Amino acid sequence: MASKLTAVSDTGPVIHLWEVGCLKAFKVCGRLFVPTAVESELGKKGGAKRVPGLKVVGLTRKEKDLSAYVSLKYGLGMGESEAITLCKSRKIKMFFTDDLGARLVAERENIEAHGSVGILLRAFREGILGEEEAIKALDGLAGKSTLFITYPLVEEAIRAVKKYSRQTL
Amino acid sequence: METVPAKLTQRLVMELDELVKEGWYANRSEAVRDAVRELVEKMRVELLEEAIKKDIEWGLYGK
Repeated sequence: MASKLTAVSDTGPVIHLWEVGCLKAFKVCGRLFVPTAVESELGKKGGAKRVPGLKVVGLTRKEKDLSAYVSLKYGLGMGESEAITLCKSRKIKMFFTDDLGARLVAERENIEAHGSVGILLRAFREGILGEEEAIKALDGLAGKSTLFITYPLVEEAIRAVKKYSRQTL
Repeated sequence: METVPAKLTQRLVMELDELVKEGWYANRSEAVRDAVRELVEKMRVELLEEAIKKDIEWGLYGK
């Protein structure tokens, strides 16, 4: 299924999906952007280049000022505030983050926000990941990634995957 | 920073002022900020649960 989803991501989902060996889940996006602050943060973890189709976008002077304001106002890191600013100024309605604070700010700004779990499930639904692969990655989020998530929540996501599979058989 | 109007009982205010008087906090605002921060941290799992539910719905059934 060809995806037309356009999104901006901050550092969290890229790192967490890399940690579970599932960066290909980002193929749910037709276009995926990260701002330069996120690229810098990812530099330490092997870089943005690992993500299929990811494009790094530099912010304009005006956008940088807005990002600094967002960061100060909501107490967000530069990666998150640049990503939210990019969504706002370029009218991109989808934001990927695993940061609860950033997620709440995005929703307040009318930007839809989803995290690693959502991206994995979307990739499964679109056939980018098989059922077993998706379950293994979800399990890995709790077991071997640095994402803050509890096992009961991962189990809920895994149950949802199995239910979806049964429904679509 | 944003001002959040909130009504507190007289007893709570009294106890709050005692914390300030005893030197635990510089003023009422600082004490309330710390309390709210702690509350949000305590509710983190609940907030996370809500976020994951939205992710499941969007991932499997959303447009």
